[in-house]
Amino acid sequence: MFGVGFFLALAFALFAVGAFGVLTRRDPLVMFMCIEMMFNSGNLALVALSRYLGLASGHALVFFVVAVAAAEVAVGLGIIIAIFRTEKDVNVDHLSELKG
Amino acid sequence: MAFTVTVMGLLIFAAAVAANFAGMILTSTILGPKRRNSVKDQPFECGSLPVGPTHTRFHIRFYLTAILFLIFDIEVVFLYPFITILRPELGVTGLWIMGAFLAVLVFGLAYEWRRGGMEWD
Amino acid sequence: MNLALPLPEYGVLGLALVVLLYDLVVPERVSRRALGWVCALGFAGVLALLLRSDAPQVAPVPTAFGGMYVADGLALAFKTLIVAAAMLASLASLDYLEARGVRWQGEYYLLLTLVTFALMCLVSAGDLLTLYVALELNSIGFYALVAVLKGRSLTSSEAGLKYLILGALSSALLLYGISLLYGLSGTVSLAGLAAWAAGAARSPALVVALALVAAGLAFKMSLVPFHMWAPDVYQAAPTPVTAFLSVAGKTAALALLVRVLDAALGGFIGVWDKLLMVLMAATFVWANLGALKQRDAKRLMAYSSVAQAGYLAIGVAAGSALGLQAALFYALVYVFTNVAAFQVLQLVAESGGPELSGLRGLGRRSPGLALILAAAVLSLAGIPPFGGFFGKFYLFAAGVREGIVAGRSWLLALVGLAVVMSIVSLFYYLILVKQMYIEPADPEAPGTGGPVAVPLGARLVLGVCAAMILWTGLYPSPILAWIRQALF
Repeated sequence: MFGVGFFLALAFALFAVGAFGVLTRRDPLVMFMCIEMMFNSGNLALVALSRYLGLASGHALVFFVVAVAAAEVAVGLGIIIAIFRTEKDVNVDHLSELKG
Repeated sequence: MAFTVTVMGLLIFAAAVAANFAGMILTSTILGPKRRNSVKDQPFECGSLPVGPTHTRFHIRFYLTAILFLIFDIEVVFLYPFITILRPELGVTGLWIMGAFLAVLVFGLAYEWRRGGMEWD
Repeated sequence: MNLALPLPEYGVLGLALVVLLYDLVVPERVSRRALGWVCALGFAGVLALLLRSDAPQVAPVPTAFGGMYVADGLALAFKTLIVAAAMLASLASLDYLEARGVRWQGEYYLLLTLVTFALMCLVSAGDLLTLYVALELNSIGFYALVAVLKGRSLTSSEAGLKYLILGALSSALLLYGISLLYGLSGTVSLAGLAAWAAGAARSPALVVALALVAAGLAFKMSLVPFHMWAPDVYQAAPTPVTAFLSVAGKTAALALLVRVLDAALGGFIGVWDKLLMVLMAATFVWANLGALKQRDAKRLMAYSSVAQAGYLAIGVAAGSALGLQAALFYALVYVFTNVAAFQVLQLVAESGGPELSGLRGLGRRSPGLALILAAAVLSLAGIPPFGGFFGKFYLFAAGVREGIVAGRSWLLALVGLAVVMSIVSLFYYLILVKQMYIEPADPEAPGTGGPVAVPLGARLVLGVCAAMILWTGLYPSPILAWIRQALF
């Protein structure tokens, strides 16, 4: 079936799409989604390589990455809500109190 | 052998889908009449007129529920591999370690409850 | 397996539990101010424990959890700095939070202890898994701490969001780099990586992996061009958090660079030292020139901190035992000088505002505070009687020595640049001093009259920091002996 190279290529594609999204989009929620995509590209590469090398350590790492990413998004959503409650607008370009 | 067949099949399918798409769009742009009017620019909902704005905002409380769900939902990624190797490998020690992990979660739940995270109003 | 080995970590975790229980049990109308004292005392206890324990002096260092936790001298020394910084940060927070009426003081101190716990685990990481999880735990804690003024200050939330998005992005880069390294080496343990790096061949994939890992770590260390978050976050975060982030976060990031680049991937020093030196050269130039045009005191200190991170990284780029010792000594000096500077700015901002002009006339209003701030910034600039002079001297000497011994001329050029930019940095540090002593105070400005009020917590912070700035400058040999013993 598909070799490890296929999965690594897919992981790279996901990573590139995610990175492009973070750099071009201006909605924090969409940016989070793109960052999640980058995390998952790392996860995919880890799982594929773990399977290819016949080791369990990569699989173990992936579980922790998934949990950590969820925690990160939870805090992110909390901060977005805090901004939304005061500003009613969370576009990154409009957040420009800090400059210099 | 099996690899080549599957990949070839997939590639042919992908090419066919792309060709089909491109064909349909191209044909309709070349052949279709191009007259714009106000009726054409309206959104189409099975013939009936659209009702209300399309972008409805959910109440911000849903976000809090979503955040809390997210945290407690993810614990399952640790529970699932744990139960699959509990009997053959981990034994009683593993049970204690997982008990500690779940205790932390229950503690978090109690904290959330106490601070009013579960109250809707 | 030695479960009792991470005793300092258990201590901090226990402290976090105490804070959490206190916050749950005590009714909401009671102020959480007492928690600041509880935290400071708890950290002081852990600090005493750390100072009393001896670094292992024989080869196989003790490990726990199957090699995922390493208790070597490097970890011990960096943990001491981190816990000291946490203690000072809790003391500095006491009156700051109270004055701003922050409702989430319980959560604030809980996050502070958990971040400290994460940083301690981070410097003890023996495995990429521990490293990643600890790195994320401390970053997530810091995102929340930066935004803790929510509702009071929009900029605080805004900085939190920026920090979080950029931080998550850098974590994703690091993770992808880790996955590539894992694919090449087949191990996630740092000891395993070191064994692999000793004999592995170089490949394009390796360069990409090293670049991604270096980028991820450079973000935590805030090296240019991964520093974009630093000025915004430092300016808008609560000042005690800024101080803690700038010293403890950076110190732990330095330990991480040492562990990952020098120790685990030391076999590839010829590959990553070019990457790191480019980042450092950019840091020296950009941060020192950027600081010159700042009008906000905390923002100026943010640029200064970015520049200091560059100096610290010289020890890592040298990759020698001497470089490591120099970096650790400089980190120690930097912790106390930066905390002192931020503490004075925090006190002055209460009456004079965040602008540099708020410092005007401080030399007459509060001569003590002005003297401490002047000593701190002159130490950061590397002026003789203060600790920063010796710190920079050792770092530059280690860099030059390694450059000559190993024939790495790029390193020599980099140290030259660091010396030149260090002179440039004197300009903006002297701007602060000039504001305090020479610029006439504006009689119309609010709060320019009497002396600045200094509460007990801040008094303790300033006392400890001033003593350390002088001690490291005038009589550094016991500290150097401690460092040499820790890093044997």
